[in-house]
Amino acid sequence: MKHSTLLTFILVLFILPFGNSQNSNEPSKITSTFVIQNVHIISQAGQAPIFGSILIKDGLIESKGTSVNIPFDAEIIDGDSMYVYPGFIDALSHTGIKKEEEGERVKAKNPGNPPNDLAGITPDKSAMDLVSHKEKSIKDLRSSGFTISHTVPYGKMLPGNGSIILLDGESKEEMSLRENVSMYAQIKGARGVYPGTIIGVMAKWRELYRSAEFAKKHKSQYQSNPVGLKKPSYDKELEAFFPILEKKQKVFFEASNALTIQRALSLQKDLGFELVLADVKQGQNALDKIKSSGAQILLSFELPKEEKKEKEKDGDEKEKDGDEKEKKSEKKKDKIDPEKEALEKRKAESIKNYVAQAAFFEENNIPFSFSLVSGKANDLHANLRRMIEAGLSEKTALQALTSNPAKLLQIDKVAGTIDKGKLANLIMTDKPFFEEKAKIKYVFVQGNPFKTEEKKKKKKSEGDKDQIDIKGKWSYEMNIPMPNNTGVILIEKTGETFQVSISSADDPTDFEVIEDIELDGDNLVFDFDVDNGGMQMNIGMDLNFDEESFEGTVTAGQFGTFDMNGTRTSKDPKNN
Amino acid sequence: MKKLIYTIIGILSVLNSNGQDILVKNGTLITITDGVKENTDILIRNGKISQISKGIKAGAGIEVVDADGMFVMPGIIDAHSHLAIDAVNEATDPNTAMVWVGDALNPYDVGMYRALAGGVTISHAMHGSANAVGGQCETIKHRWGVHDPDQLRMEGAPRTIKFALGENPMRVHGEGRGITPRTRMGIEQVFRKSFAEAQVYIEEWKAYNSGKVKTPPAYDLRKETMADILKGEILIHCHSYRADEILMLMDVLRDYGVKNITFQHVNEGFKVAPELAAFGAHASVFSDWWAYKFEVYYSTAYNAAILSKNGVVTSINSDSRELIRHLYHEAAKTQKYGGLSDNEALRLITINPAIQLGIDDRVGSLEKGKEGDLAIFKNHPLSIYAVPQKTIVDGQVRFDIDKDPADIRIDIDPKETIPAYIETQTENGHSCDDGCLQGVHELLGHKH
Amino acid sequence: MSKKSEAGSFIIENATLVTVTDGTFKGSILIENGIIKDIMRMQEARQLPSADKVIDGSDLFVYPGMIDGGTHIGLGEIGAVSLTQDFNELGDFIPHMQALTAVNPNSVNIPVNRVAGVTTAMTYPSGGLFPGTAALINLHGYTPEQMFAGFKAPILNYPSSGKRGRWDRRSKEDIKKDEEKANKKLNDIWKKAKQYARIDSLANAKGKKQTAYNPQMDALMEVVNGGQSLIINVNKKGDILSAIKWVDKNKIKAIFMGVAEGWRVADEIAKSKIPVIVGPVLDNPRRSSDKYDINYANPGIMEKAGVLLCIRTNETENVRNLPYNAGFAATYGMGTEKALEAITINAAKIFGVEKQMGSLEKGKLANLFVSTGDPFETKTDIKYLFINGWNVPMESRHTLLYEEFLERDPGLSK
Repeated sequence: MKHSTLLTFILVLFILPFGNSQNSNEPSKITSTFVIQNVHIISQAGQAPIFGSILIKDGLIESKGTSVNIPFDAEIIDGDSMYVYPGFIDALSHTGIKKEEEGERVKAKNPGNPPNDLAGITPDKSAMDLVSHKEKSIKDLRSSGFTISHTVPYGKMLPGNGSIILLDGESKEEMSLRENVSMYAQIKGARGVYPGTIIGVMAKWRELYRSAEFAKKHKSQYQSNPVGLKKPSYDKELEAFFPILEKKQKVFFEASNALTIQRALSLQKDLGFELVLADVKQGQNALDKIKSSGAQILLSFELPKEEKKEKEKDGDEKEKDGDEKEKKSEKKKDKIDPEKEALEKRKAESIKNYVAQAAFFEENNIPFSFSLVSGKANDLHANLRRMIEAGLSEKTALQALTSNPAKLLQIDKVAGTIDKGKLANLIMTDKPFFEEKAKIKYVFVQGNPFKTEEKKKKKKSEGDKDQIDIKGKWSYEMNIPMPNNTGVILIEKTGETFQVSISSADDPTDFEVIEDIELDGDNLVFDFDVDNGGMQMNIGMDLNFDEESFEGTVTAGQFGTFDMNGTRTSKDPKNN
Repeated sequence: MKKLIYTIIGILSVLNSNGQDILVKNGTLITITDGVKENTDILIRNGKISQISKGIKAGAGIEVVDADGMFVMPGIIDAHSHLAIDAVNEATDPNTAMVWVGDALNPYDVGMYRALAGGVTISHAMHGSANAVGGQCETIKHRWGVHDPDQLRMEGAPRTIKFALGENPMRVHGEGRGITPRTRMGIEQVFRKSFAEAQVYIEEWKAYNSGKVKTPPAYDLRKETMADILKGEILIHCHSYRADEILMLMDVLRDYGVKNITFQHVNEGFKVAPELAAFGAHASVFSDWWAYKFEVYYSTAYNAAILSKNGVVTSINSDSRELIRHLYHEAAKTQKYGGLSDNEALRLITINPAIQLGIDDRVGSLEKGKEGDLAIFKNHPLSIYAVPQKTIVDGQVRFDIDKDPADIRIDIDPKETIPAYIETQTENGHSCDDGCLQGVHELLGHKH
Repeated sequence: MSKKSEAGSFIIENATLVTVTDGTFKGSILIENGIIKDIMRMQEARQLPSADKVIDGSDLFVYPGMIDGGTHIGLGEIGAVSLTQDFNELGDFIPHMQALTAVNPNSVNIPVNRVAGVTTAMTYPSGGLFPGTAALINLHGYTPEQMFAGFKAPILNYPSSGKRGRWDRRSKEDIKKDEEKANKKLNDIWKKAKQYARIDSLANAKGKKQTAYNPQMDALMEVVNGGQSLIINVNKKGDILSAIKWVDKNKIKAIFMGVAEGWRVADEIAKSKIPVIVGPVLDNPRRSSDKYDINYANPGIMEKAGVLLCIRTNETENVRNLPYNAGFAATYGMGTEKALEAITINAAKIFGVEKQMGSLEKGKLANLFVSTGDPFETKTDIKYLFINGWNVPMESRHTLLYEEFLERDPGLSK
């Protein structure tokens, strides 16, 4: 695809109004009373299932068990011996908030002392103000079983405060559960201004915190007796620290890697705030420090990909030109390289460490929840299974998704278990949740049922890993309001992976080529960058293939995600 | 597979030899402060040198290293490096005294192991030279194998801070952003202003703390640090080249009563060696780097020799992930350029940098009571044929040539099988520059 | 005013002569008309003719001048001052750019470095795919012509699949794309270069000349015809293997340069018979998983595999560290003798000037130095230096500043 073409595509999207009106034609709700019948109820993590029914009224759990009365106005959902769990709670993410692409670098007049917003210091910014009920991430999380998110703004060192939202609603007001519950922090420097680096952020943290201590003291002194005192000036960034100083709020610190964990802990040690380490991926080596600090832990459920026998992509085995056949035969003769083998082993060990983290914390009696700051929600199930294989108990896994985050976020009175009077936040699965083939069939948020869309059954039910044949020439259509929304995709298989070439209808001869894409069952995910005169954008595609057609989405940078579908026109990609 | 097992065994034996007690027998001890002692033993107990003499008997459970025919010297100390830190320059302001590279320590930097393999046990992890007043630095011990960054710190070592004169701050702020300093005149005023403000700041807090003033002054971490310099609590290490700027800074410090300074690089230090000696300033220099920029064009590799012979406490530093691997060879070049004696040359990488970092009472020579940091060499360390054999930190072997597992990485990227091939500076055609501007280009948004 | 070089005839008497090609022995050496006129072993019962100057060499050693296999000396003066940097012209395909044109005979760098005993250096342009043509120069003379030491070759920076540095943020895919692009360009260029050479020889056969002005293609013609070497800068394992095939396929005379990962594929390089300019030796391993000393050991590993190699510093102002680069190679596996050969006779062979230099032999250019011992040791002093038979003063900016400032006058008083 010509870059200019893509740019046009993008600009058109940008200019045209793009309302999300897909819900406006749906019929309005008939009742808010539901009875789920014939289900195994797991009221809380670790509890044995009880077979019975659940009555939901006005968004709350009215009763549960074997003897539930069915009101006349109830809609009855036959659970068909499915399993019901408390809805999952995401302990930290950016759900419902649009990620702002970094704009042009702003030239600060005084880069050593920039305005707070340029410096990335906006602790007073409210996540609630940024949430939109239309964001795709809400649906994504919900389909994976989440009913509540603790969401925080995107940004730099202090992006803002967190809010707890229900993952359903026609407006953010409807979605809101609690606002301004936490302070979100990252060790992330601003661009070209202070604080620009790790060391800048760390220093600025200390200065802000101590300044806030003085400001708070000054303010309360002034309030009790202003005589002889300078009037304290209003400083919204420093005031945002007051609930932290009073220990009414915790600091949720993004701390994925081993060293960021250490840095967050050292700030906590110096300053004494209550700390939650979030999105932790490499927490093992900081165990003792975590214990003594009293910091709480949110683990990332994102895991590095399993080792596959893939071609070394480093370029060392590449072919440059000339006679392919001769080279292939030569390659076969290559002996196994012991150095490479050792490196592969070390990588595998490293992956194992990541996978075993959750079990490690369980073993050491450190409770944790899961955060979704990084990773894709629909990997949750598969990744939890990997953690369980590495020793994590199902009970702890479920706690980490339900009661633990409820407690941490102080919403355990209304969520985290299936109990009378609590929010009717539930999920229903066809098999016990942690079984390999378990699928979430329903998600209830505040009593509102969502049937999860079932993907078309794959032809081969045995062994999900079987790939379907996607080779060939496909035509596609994107659901976007512009004339040239169609084009051609050529898919070729190269070894274990695929090469995709995309063109657009306005210039069918100009292809954007993306290589080394892996096919996961019927799911092909890839992305590429387009650059036109300094305007850069990442285009991502997520396509699910059936025999002769595909459906999926295209994500164009910050402009959003749109539906896309296509059909096969030939099995031979080179067929014209 | 064999190799893998070897690797694992190697790592375990290097990292987990927990003995803080060790006896090194029959080596030629180069004590630095007390001559050379042949066929002598050195015993380390609880990480400290407890005995130096002939025929020491090993107690039960004490690891013994046979150094027969080997040279044993104090662990080498590099007074200028940027190893094991994830951020070097906070290049956003001509004065960033508030930042501290100790906040960005990275115990996984393989550069640290490679330095150990060159006998270096201590390095001074420094902020870069983008700003007239850079950040605070950290003196680290190369305890390779730890995960906790705090365990790299040399506890109790004095605080230090980076200053910088000349082209780098001029280029970053004056040329790059149109902010003073664009000249060496401007640089002088950055210091004068910062010190003057710090004096006022000290007074403001005195007034508040004594109750004279009720409203607290605005807390300012930059001024806090400058105030600590005025109080003599922080040693200055100043990136510098030209004779005039060196004199300028000494004048400024004299005006504000600041005494502790080591000039870093200081390529034209030899031109003002008598003034440096009179001030009591120290010098930490390259062995032979010059001509990589205009301000080092009129310099000489005889710098260290001239400074030493004029009574300036001088060290040879690396400022480079490469040079730090063979500081013993860099020190040896002073025998070519100025004919220093063996001991004079070795002082440049042991006791002298220790003096400059304020840790000479603890390390830098083989003396009873000092910390058990040793470098053991086959062949004399000043010979080109010298090969470091073992490097010991606090009585613990952290590098052992016989147990070197090749792939020494601790933190393995789960996404990358074969670590990326990375061209070095010399390979990709960039001319050598001091490592001090690391990270600045990204910060200024320059494209390479 | 600094001292001038002296011409004339010289005898270094009763020194230890380290000839490199004919052993080490006590003897005397006669320098006349720019060449080594005679070498006499101590035990020979004859007399050398008289000379203008006789140097007592009884405690001294004579070595052939060291040859640095790859530098920017003469082409760059002050690193950070771009207008003093003459090795990097604009353009990706500019093999006609001549390093020798831009060599500044009066560069301050030259005396500073030659007094270390480095008499000769290959100096080369760098930058894009074909950044220009390198030249071998002696570090003495007032014009590039006087300095020229008889070898020129175009440089090819072989497309690299590695990261350009720690700051290189390109993704693996982008690196691969860039590399593929460069490869395609290289093969296109080479196709055209072959065509050009073919047309040229056809034209010559008919007594005609190519008419179009095509200096780039002219600069590559001798390489295509197999008469001139092409210096291929290549470092990474995969790139080296690919470059070996490329050289084989195009049947050219090649010299590899850099070859940082030569140790991984030493046997393959040896089999290809392509000589190597390796270095700098004093450099870091390229991958985080590499053994700490692998870069020191690299020359020795290749030498043992049978690769003909010499060493480069890749320096501009510190070419004087050539003996130390060789010294580290010697210490980490190569041995002193082989390391010395690498920076003398082997370098001469690789550059095709072994008849003129690279050893102490009768009839060769008088490029040599007189030292107090092993030049790899930093304690060793170089006492005398001869280039092209000129007795070059042991003086440079560095020694002059030393003399002026060791005991500065006035000191602290006015």
